[in-house]
Parts: sequence; C-alpha cells; structure tokens
Amino acid sequence: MITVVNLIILAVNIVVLYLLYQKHQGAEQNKSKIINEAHSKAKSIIAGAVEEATRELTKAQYMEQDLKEVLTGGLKAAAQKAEVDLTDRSKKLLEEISKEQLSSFKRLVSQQQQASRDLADQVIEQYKKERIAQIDSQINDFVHRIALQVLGKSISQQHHQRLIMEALDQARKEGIFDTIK
Amino acid sequence: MRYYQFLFDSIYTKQQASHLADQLQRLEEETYRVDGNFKKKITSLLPYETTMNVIDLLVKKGIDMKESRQLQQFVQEIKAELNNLPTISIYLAIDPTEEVVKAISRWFTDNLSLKVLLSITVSPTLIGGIQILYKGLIRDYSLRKTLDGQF
Repeated sequence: MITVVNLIILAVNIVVLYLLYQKHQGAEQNKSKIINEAHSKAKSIIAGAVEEATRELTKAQYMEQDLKEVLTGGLKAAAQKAEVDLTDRSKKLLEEISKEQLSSFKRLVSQQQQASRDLADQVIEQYKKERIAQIDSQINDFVHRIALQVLGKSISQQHHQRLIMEALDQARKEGIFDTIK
Repeated sequence: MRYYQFLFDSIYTKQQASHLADQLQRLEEETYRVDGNFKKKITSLLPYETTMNVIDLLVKKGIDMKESRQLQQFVQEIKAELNNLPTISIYLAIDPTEEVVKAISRWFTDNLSLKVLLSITVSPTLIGGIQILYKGLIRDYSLRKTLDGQF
C-alpha cells in the first residue's frame, strides 16, 4: 500500500515539475496542448501507477496470503512440535519420576524385607535359646530327681553315719560351733 | 558347775532330756513328802543306770537321804544343770539308729569337749548328710545341697 501511494506522489511531482519546466521555457503557445499532453501523460502515468499499484496490491495480497499460510503452517508446526516436545518431556519426566519412585520403592521394600528378616532371625534365635534353656532345665530336673531317688535308696546306714561325721567336721572348720559354751 | 554331767552320759537327745527332767521333777516333789525311804523312790522313778549314778553321787556328797532339804537342793541342782545343756537341732535324711545318735553325741564331746542335747528331725529329702540349726543359724551339709549344686 505504501508503494502505491509513493508512486502516485511521484507521478504528481513529475507532472508539476514538467509544468514548471514548460512554463519556465516560456512556451506559452502550446499551453493547451501541453496541458492536454501533460494531462494525458499524467493520466497514463496514473493509470500505470494504478496498474502498478494494483499489481503490487495483488502481490501484497498474495504475499499476505502466503505469509498467513506460512505463519499458520509455522504456528501449527510449532504447536505440533511444542506438543510433541511437551509430550516427550512429560513422558521422559514421568519415566524419570517412575524410575526414581520405583527405585525408591524397591529400596524401601528391600529395607523392609531385611528388617523383617532380621526381626524374624532375632525372634527365632531368642526362641531357640529359651527352648534350649527350658529343655536343659527339664533334663536337669529329670536327672536330679533320678539321682535323688537312686541315691536316697542306695546309701547304707554306715555311709549315712560317715556323711554326718564329715558334715560335722566341715561345720566345725567353718566355726559353726564356736559360740557353743 | 558341770558337776553332775556324768549323770547325763546316757542322755543324747532333747527328748530323752525332757523325759529325765520329768522324772527329776517327780523326784523333787517326792522330797517334800517326809515318809522316809528316798532311795526306793529314786529306784522307782529313775532308770537303773541313772539311779545308780545318783545314789553314788549322794553318797559321795555326803547327803543324808532322810534330809528333805538337802535332797531338794540336790535334785534342783541336777535339774538346773540338765536345763543348761546346750541343744543343737539337726536334720537327718534317715531315722537314725541309737548307734548313729551316740556317734553324733560323742562327736560333740570328743571335738568340742561339750555335752549337747540333740533335737533330731528326720527329713528324707536331704538324701544324706546333715543340716544344723543352732541359735537361729541353719547350715546345710546335706547331700541334696551338694547335688543341687551340680545341677
């Protein structure tokens, strides 16, 4: 549009200069002719200018259209690209988050499993100790009872007397009878 | 003191001592009856061996058996000495024979130069050996304790 206006202004300037030039030459005689010619020329120039302007306008319209198409296409492509990029990045981000979370979850599960195993080991170990102690105690009691029964029946009077005398000797050594007067 | 201790040679246990104390009590009571023949009363109240020892002692001390007062003092002194004998409580796994009781009593006279009275309780769970209770202290020298230490 600017180009068309410039052309028109240029054409008008040319006509004015031409007229001034003719005036300056003092050719008054062909004033009418010159005016007509100038008019005709100006008309021709204006027509040419209009034609040129129209062409330029059309061209500009085409260019605008192209530009619109290019812009539309570009924007569309850019939007698509952005969408793809965003999707990829989101996917990647999600994958990373998932991987991290999965890894963290696995680690947590592993820790929990280890803790459970440790606890189970402790419980089993404690249980084993208690059971072994219990069995030991039962065996001891049993052997003890048997020993008492067997010994109680197998000691003779003489042996009893000897045991008593030995016990009295021991008591004397320990000073049990020191206070007897 | 211990002048009359030989009278207790055949006394080993608290039970025997208690029995003798009863006899002496009755004998003392008899001294208040002035109907003569104290010797006969002694013979009827005390065991033979003890009777012989008492009579022997009466003679040695020059006590007139017709003198109630002298006899009372004599009996009271015997009773007092009997009461002063220390008593040791012992727990045995078996019901001891007389031989065992004598042996224990002899151990005290031999080793401590002391006549003691034994208070014997039978406790078969001891298995063997002896538990001694004296002046509130109990000492366990039983076979059960030895075995308990093994288990």
